[in-house]
Amino acid sequence: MSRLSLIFCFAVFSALPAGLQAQSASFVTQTPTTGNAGNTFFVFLPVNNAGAADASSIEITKVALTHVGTSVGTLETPAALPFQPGTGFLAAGGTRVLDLEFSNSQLVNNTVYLLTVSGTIQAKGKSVGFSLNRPIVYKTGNTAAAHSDVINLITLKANTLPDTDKATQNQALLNFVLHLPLVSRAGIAADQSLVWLVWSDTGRKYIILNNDILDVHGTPAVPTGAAQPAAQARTAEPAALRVIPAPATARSFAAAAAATAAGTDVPSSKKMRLLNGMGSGMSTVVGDLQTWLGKAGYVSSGGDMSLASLRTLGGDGVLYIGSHGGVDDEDDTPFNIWTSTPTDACEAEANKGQSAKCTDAVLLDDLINERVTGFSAKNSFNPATRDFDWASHYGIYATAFATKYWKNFGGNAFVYIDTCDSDAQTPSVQAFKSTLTSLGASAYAGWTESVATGDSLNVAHFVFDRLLGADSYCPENGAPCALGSAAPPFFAQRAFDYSQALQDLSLHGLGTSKSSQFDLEHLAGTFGQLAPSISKLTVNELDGTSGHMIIYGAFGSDPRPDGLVTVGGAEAQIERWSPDSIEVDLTLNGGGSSGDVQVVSRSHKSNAARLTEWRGDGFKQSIQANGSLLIAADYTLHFRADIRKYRPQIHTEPVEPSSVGFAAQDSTAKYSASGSGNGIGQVFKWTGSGTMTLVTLTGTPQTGATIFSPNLRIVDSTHALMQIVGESEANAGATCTIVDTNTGTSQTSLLPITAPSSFSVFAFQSNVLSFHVTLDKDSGQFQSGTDKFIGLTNYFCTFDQTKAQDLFTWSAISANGTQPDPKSAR
Amino acid sequence: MFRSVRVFAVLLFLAALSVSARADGISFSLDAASFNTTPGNQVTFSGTITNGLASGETLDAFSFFFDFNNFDATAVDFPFQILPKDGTDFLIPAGSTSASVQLFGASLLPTAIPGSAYSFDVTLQGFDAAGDTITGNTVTVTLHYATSTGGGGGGNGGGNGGGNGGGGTTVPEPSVWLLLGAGVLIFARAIVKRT
Repeated sequence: MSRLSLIFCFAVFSALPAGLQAQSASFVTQTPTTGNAGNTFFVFLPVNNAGAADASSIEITKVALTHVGTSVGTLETPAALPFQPGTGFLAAGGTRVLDLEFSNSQLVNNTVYLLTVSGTIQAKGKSVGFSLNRPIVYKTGNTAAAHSDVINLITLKANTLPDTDKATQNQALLNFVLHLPLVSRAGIAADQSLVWLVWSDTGRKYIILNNDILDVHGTPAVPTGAAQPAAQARTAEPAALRVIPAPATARSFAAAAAATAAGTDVPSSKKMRLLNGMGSGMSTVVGDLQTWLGKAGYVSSGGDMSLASLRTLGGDGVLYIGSHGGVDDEDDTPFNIWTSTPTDACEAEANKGQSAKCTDAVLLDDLINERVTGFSAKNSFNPATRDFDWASHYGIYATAFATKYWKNFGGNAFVYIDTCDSDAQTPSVQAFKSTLTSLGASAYAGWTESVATGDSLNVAHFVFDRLLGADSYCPENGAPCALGSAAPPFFAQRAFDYSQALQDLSLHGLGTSKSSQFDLEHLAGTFGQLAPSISKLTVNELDGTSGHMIIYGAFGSDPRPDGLVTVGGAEAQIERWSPDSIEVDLTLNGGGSSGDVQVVSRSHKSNAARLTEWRGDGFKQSIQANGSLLIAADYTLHFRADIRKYRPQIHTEPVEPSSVGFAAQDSTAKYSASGSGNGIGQVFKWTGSGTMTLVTLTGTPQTGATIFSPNLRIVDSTHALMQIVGESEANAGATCTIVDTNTGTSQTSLLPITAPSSFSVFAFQSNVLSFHVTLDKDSGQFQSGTDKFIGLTNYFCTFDQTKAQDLFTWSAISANGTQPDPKSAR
Repeated sequence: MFRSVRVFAVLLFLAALSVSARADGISFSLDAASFNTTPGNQVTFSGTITNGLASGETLDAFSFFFDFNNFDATAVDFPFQILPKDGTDFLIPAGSTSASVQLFGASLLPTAIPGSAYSFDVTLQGFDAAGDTITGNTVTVTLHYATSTGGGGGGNGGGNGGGNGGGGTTVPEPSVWLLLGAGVLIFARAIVKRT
């Protein structure tokens, strides 16, 4: 860059005013909305940050309405100064509305007054002032002439409510709406969950729902339960509200769990409908649930929370609705749920059979028949103000709407209505649940009262994680609940039924939100959980032609043909399916022999439980007598076992596996006898060889065979005891020849073969001998070993003063990739 | 190259002039944007308002209002609007500029630091007959905490304004764009001469 250019740049920047060089916030006002509510003149004044920097810690210190320098109109709102509007934040380019209200007793119609709003913001540690002016033309009465005008005023008022307790806010809303045009009457629900009004022209209600306790998307959701830190002060209810006693119908979790014994089935339908009624920036679990359920085989039905979409609901195995909800049966406001459809001209036409202003005949019919209502609630997070913005949408009266439009669910469906009051003990909520029952829902989850968003998100994450075994939220590692998976040494948790999930919920300090309580209850049918779940595997090698495996866990009723089991990636022949166990055929080689076992019921996939396999020919036995007498036996053994730790119950440490099983039917053994040994006037000679016959339930000869039967007892995940019993039956074995050295005559007889564990009879052991085996904790390798016994008596056909020695060795055998997966759910 | 610099500078200057004129909108111009003063003494800023609305709409004095931003709240009291002084209305036809009138006032707080200069931004807004907001221009003004006692007379610096400005002299403050354009022209000329 030339010197000229440098100087030019310097000249440009030096000419800029200080205010532009240092980026700063700068406020201007926008066109206000004014009117009267009784004796109050209200001004909703939009303030725009036209500067280049965000403004924080906005504090209003002075508000005045003057005429020719004389103050008129006593300030009523804000009630006290200084006053921080909302979060006190306003991003560059953003707009925040101020609610400024004055006594109108001294104001004169059609007179221009100067409204002045002064205050400070904090910038770089300094208090920076602002003072804004706006001429206001005062007019008596109100210009609001239509529902939409009144709704707009309600939205403005709601958006600017001070962050006080709900009762104070509701009273302010009530006082405001009671004086608005077109409002014939209004009231507050006894539980402070909502303010309602009745239109004077249509006679229909309009709901202003104020029972939400919201969190910002991306804000860590901290449970408000006693076991966890308190929720953020910004969104928490003031302490005064917390003294509201729990309703008599609220139950403890222990009682709830006891009263709601879960079934064992998974939903019959693989369709899931996960709906979020909240607007932009609001936290939702829908994305997470979609991922988790998708991994378990569920398929989205699509849809959204619009009225049009909600009218098509049906056929799902899982329905989740996260939205606003409220109820005030005492004031004839049945349980209602916020939708994503904004109110329109139809809202004002509910008393008309036909209307030129409303072209949606279906909606008009819904409004006339009170299946749908107008509804104001917080709908979205405004990043410019860091406050929640209210909106006016349609809400559905849940029972009437579902009765009219919803089709049957898939069998054993799980319905989770994640709204405030969705499990309130009120007639209309109970009626809604009855409607769902008649539509085939099997279990229902909801909240008894208002619920903080963070609490509802935590519980929804938790419940679906536990019912699916998703291993995506609150792993059992002792840490506070958060999104994330278990990492070794902690094991992921498999799916459990909702009775156990409810118990686990309370063990993690979840399931309550202030005085509201989460519940998951049985409606009808046999729903238990959202995915099949394998606890442990046992193998009976003697069954069938190549062994059977019994899979224990929770699988629901027999879904076949819509159910299958895979072993090592191959579909296994199912011999028996019961809710708590499934028996399948194993193969001896390849897929179907070992590896990951997974149960799929009605397209819902279980956790993978790995069947470990060892196959080796390094098992060698030698029996040495005097001289060179030797019996050598080689065993080729094939063992299969589940050596995973597993959880019998939810929220418990996985326990060590324990099982015993025979060797697989392709195990073989052979022997040979050789050598000679001297006695007194005798010489013993061993000869002959042969194979040994594996003992099975069928086909084992009664005589003429040398039989063997290996078994492996799993002591724990790294230890086992091995036995190989066997001996020659009558008319079987090697050959022993005894030569009389004096006469030269000889006598031949059978030489019995004794397997390693059966050598105990020569060692005077009361039990068959067992051999300790170590299994590598990581690779599952069957570690090598050796064992030696000295007989206390002589062996068959040997010099009787010589004790035989049995030596049994085995070499290491790899699990060949079938060792337990430490990341698999237990 | 230097010819290009000259052309650019001229264009910049013309652009600055065009912004000042605000072909469609409203604007204000101060007789003086800087005053010497001391705490407790009100400084009145005077100036003219131009109605440049292309719609041809005439605006009255009540249609205009000022927003004050970015002042040191520990040193400057809240500035206040004077226009229309004493509620006396007047009209500004489209395409015309008012006479110089009192627009707003400000004063230093006792906590201000002697010898310091305190600036803040003043934005003009207005609304038309339809009630729509019209945003005008922003001017940065300065209050100097005068430390000498001989600097009186600032009160007359703002045309009709400054009547209470007891402590200082009026310091005219050219508009930023004019400064910029002029500076570039001078600079470019100097370069050309040198070559």
